[in-house]
Amino acid sequence: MPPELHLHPDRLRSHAVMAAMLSEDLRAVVPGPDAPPARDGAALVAEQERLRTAVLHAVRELAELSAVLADAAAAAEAADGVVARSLGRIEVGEDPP
Amino acid sequence: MIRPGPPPDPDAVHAVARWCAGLADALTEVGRQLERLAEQITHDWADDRGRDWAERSTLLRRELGREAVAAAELGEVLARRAADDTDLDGPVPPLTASLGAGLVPRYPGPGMRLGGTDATRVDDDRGMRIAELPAPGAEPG
Repeated sequence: MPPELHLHPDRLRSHAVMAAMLSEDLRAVVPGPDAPPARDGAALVAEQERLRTAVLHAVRELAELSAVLADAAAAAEAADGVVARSLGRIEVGEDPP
Repeated sequence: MIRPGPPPDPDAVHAVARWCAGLADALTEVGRQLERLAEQITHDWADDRGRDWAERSTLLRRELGREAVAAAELGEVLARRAADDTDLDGPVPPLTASLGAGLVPRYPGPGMRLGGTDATRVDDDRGMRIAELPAPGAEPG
């Protein structure tokens, strides 16, 4: 039996959508005002950039999570289709492959 | 001779402070939803790959929590500086120097910290320290 059979494609797809939304929510807050110039402005800019980099990392991670969840949903759906076709053949009296 | 730059615009400092506060809120909210998502992935994707991603999501949620704290603290410091209109060129706090060790740093600011009117407990590590004798047998230093 394919290992994907125990998965729920609809739920995985829903989780993929949620991960994509979270990624977009974070992406929306990344742009912001630049740090104002000051004698010690470099440190402020550096900290702000560090925060932006960390958020962009999270954006990418969530986007990747969304993609793998969508892949898993597709694999589970394909496995369901194989089983459904096999059952259909059994019902009409054909030998399953 | 190094000439000091122009004084920072308080409005610009406020803008960055507001951005930091908004970022902290967004990180907190996304972290909360990601925590739920990680639990659902654990339940609905019960194989090795699913467990790996659930664990990765949990780690990311923790990272978002740490960055939310860092953003909030930077925002508070900047808002305080802009409001006080003093020492806008002062050092930026080393907010994340020890975050990897799971510690939440507090920016002490210059001088002794006094209690405000908002009934919020302030850090208690800013007061006078009373000298103590070392424990018997302890090495000096």
